[in-house]
Amino acid sequence: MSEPVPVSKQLHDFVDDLERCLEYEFDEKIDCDNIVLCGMGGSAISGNVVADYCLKTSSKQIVAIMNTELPKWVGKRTLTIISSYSGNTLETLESYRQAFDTGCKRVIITLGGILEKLAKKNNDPLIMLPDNLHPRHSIGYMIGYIFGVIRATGCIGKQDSILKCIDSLRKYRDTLEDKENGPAIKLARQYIEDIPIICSYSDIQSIVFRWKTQFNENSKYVAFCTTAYELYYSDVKWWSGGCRPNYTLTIVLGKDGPDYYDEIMSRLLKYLDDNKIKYTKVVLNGNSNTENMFRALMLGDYISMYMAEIQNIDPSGVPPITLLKTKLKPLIEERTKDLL
Amino acid sequence: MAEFSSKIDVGDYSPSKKICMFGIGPSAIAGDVISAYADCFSEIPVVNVCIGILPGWVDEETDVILVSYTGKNKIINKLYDSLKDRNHSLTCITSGDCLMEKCQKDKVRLIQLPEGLTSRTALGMEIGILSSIIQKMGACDIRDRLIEKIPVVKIYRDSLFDDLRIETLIPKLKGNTIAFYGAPVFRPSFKRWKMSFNEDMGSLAFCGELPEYNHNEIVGWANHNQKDDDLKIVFFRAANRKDVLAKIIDKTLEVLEESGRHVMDLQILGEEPMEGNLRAILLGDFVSQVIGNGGKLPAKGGVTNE
Repeated sequence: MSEPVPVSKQLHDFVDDLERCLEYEFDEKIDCDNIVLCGMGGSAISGNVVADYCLKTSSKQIVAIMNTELPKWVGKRTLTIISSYSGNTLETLESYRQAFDTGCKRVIITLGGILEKLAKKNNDPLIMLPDNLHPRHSIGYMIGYIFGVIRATGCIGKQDSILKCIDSLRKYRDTLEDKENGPAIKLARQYIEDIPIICSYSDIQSIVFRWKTQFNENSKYVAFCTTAYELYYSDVKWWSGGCRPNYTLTIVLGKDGPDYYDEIMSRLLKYLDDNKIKYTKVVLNGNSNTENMFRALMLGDYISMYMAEIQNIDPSGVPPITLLKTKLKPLIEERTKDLL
Repeated sequence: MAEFSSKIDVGDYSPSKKICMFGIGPSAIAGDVISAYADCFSEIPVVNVCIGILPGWVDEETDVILVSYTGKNKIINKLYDSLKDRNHSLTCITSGDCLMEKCQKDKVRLIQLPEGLTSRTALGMEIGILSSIIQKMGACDIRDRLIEKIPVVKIYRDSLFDDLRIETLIPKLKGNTIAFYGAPVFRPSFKRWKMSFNEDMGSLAFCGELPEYNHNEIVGWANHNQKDDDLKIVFFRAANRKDVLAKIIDKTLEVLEESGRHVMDLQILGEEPMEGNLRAILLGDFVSQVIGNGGKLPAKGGVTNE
C-alpha cells in the first residue's frame, strides 16, 4: 500500500480524477432492463450522484441501494454495479451474494479485499481503484467509472455537460483553497460548535447528503440535510416558531435573484424571509445546473476539511467506523466463507 | 380506514411491467408503505417518487399513480399535466380540487377520497386504495396481506392506551430534537414520526437510514464537540430478528453506547413490512399526540388512521 495522500490533496485532485475517469469506456455493450448501484458510505455517494444526474434523462431505472438486501424485483435482466473501496464492506458483500444468487449481470469496482477475490473467481468485470485514497475521496474515480459502465447499457449519452465545466470547476477550486477569504473557510468558521442543516434542490439531494456525510467524517460533527420540498411541505412551519440557536440552516442555491430554478425553493425562501427565519444563503453561480452540482459537492468537501483544521483534528481518521468494522469482522468472515 | 378503503372497488387493471407512484409530503407516506412491502415481495419495480421529479424511465409501459389528498398540490398537478397526454395508464387518488377537476375533464381514472380529512389523516385510506391497485396490477398480494394483518394491528392500536413502555418513552422524547433512524423497510415509519413530531409537538425532528448511518453519521454522533445536548436518537428495527442487519445494528448500538451516546432502541413487532410499518406509524402518531396534548391520552376510537 502507498502512503495515504493527505485529505487536502485528495480534495484538490477531485476535478482531475473526474475529468480523467469520465473518459473511461466499458469494453462491451450491456443489455439490461434496469440498473442497481450497490455500495455503502464513501463508496455509495458516487452512485447517488450518478443516479441524481441521470434521473430526468435515463431511459432505464437507476437505483442506488444502501442496504443488506436487494429488492425482490432485481433479476437476470438487472445490471448491478457493486462498489466497495476496501472490498470488505459487509453490506456490499451481502449485495454481491444476492446478485450472484439471482444471476444478474455484475460489474465490480474496488481496490481489492474479498470483493476483488469474488469478482476474479466468478469472472465478473472488475474495475480497480488506486490504493492510497480514503474511500469517500475516491469519488472522482467512482463517478467516472460508474458513468462509463452505465453508458454501455445505452440509456444515457456522454457526460459532455460535466466535461464542459471542468475548467470552470478548476477555477472554483482556487477560490475554495483561499484560506483567508474563500467561501469554504468562511462557512467553516460559521458552523463551528453548531449543528449544520443543509438544504437544496431535490435533484441534487445526493450533494446535500454528501455535505452531511463529510461533516460527519471529516469534521466529526452531527449534521442534517434536507430538500426544499421537505422543508417547505413538512418542516418549515416549525422553524417559524423559532429555531434553536445551536442549529444553523444553510440553503444552497444555483443563482441569486428572483427567478429561481425551482418554484418550491422560491416559495421556501419567501416563507423564510417573511417569517424572519434566520438562514445562510450559499449561491454557487455556476454556468449550468451541472456545474452547480459539482461546485456544491466541492464546496461541502472543503468546508468539512476546514472545520477539522479549525478544531485541530485529523479529517482522515474515523475511529468509530474502524471500531465497528473490527466488531463486524467475525461476521464478515462467517458470511463470506462459502462464497470464496 | 385502511380496512374500509381496501374494500373499495378500484376497477380493473392489466398486469403491469413497472409502477411509479408520486406523492409529496404527507401524501407520499402511503406510497412509501407500499414500496417498502413491494421491495420485499414484488417481481416488478414499484417505485415511490416523493421529490416532484418525473424520471426519464417513466415510459408508456409504466403504470403511474398520482396521490394528493387535497388535489391542490401544484407539483402533483404539474406532473399530471406532463403525463396526461402520454400513453400511460394513469390513476389519480385525491379528494377534490384541481386534480379531481382535471381527471373528470380528461376522463382519467380517478379514485376519490372522502372530504373532511387532512393529508396526514388520509393515510389509512390511501394505503388501502393503493394496496388494491397494486395487487390488481399483479405486483404482489399486498391487499390480501393488509386485510389479513388489520385485526392484529387493531388490537395493537387499542393496546397503546395501556402500554407502559409509552410512559417511559415520552419523557425521553419530550422537549428534545429527535433524529429517527431505521432500515429502508421502515422509511415510511421514520418519515411519519418526523412529520408527526413536527406537527403535533412543534419540534424539530430529523430522519435517516440504517445501515448507511454506520458508514458516516456514526462518526459525528460518537463525538461530542458540538452544542447538542437537546439532540436524541431513536432507532427503529424489526423485533426478534437474527439476520445480518440485526447483527449490524447490535454492533452499532455497542459503538454508540461506548462513546457515551444513548440510543432509544424501538423494536417493532410484525413479520413483514406492512404490519411493521402500520404498528410503527400507529405508535408514532399516538406518542406525538400524547406529548402534543400535554400528556393527555387521546380519546379511544379517534386516535389515528386504522
